[in-house]
Amino acid sequence: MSSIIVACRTIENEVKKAIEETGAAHPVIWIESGLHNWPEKLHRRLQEQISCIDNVEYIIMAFGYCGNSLLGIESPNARLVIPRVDDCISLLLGSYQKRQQMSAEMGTYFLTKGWMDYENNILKEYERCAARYGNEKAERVMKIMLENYKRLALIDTGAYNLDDCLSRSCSFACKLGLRHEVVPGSLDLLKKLFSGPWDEEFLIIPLGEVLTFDHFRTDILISQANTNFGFSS
Amino acid sequence: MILTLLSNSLITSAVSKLQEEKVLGLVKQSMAAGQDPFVILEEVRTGLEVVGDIYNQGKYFLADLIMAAEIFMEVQELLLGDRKDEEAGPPQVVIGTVETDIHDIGKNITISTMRYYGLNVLDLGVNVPPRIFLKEVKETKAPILCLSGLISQSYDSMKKTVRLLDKEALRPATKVIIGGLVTEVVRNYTGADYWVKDCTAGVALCKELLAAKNRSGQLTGS
Repeated sequence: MSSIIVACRTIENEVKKAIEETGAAHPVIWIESGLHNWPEKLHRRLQEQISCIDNVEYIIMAFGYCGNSLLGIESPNARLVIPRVDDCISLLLGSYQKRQQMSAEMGTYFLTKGWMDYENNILKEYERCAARYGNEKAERVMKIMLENYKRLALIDTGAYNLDDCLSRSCSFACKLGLRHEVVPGSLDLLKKLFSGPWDEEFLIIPLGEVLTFDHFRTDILISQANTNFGFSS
Repeated sequence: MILTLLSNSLITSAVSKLQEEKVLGLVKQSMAAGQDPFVILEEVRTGLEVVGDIYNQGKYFLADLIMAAEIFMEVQELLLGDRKDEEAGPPQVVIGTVETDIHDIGKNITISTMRYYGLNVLDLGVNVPPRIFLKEVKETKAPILCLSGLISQSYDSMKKTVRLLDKEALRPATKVIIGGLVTEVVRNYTGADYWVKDCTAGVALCKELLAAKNRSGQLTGS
């Protein structure tokens, strides 16, 4: 069974660690970070990449639903395997339920080292704004952006050194009056994605089938209704 | 006349560059020269369109959009003062971020733009349960309900809200518009009447629906 992984550069540390731990020998194609803010751009980029892949049986997508970015994706030459999660935060927390539970406790802004290094995250936004508008205005804008957030959670995925991130995330949380927490992540879902079994936590899309909203609907996949991310009836 | 035109294009340019103090200074100058406040606001709005284009090119970010909205609201305050808060009559639009979601920046910009165009808006805030939307629509008899959501879970909340309205037979009189990270597929899933991609489209649609209602006495179908 030949497979190739298509993964987001933002979760590179975690993907590499999951590969190491599972011994999966699949090659990896990295999709550059920063596209998630424009789901249409991410969609185009993914479709371009997937269409170019040939001579493998499976394309394993280390992506979630990512704000409709995966909607309409199709693979002409290989089957797609996609974790049934809303986005990479759930992927790194280990499940959609964990993410839901934490968000229900209080508005939570999640970070990992990958997000801090690659994405235009809130810390980078703050620094950019401070340089452009000055500290006072930057703080004003950030407070508006984070008005409904109460917590900044750094996900400890075990795939990077926490000390590299802690001082920045703590100082930012303190400045914006957010509670700072380090929360345990999990690579279990990623490991299962790379090594199987692909059970109800994953979608397997046949060649040429277009990924639709219905693939994520739990009322169609009733047996999975309470276990995964999806839209219910 | 030439000076006024020049000042106006400077306002648009300063807004597009997000130069807060410069915009406010130019607006004050134009006011002192006796220019119509709505003409000045239009210049600011044109500047905001440029900001939106730059954002879509990936050269401005979310924080810049917030800065633009802040500038817009400050100019509104300067030009219209208390008048902007005068809302005659019951709300025409009830709006909120649906249950499970707390993102409200786009919603707030939309509300501000709606008020600028004279719409009466009732903002229910964020994480609003379907029953609260229902209660407010029932009480106010608002002809338009706007549901905002940016995360995937929000689609189910939108759907539940639309179902509740259906159950209470409020739909023919109230049109539902969804906004945020939505598409035609999401609209179909939630059962809403319309979906919009950005605040300008949302405001234009509300104006169109209200105008149609005024002409015919009721809202037209989707």
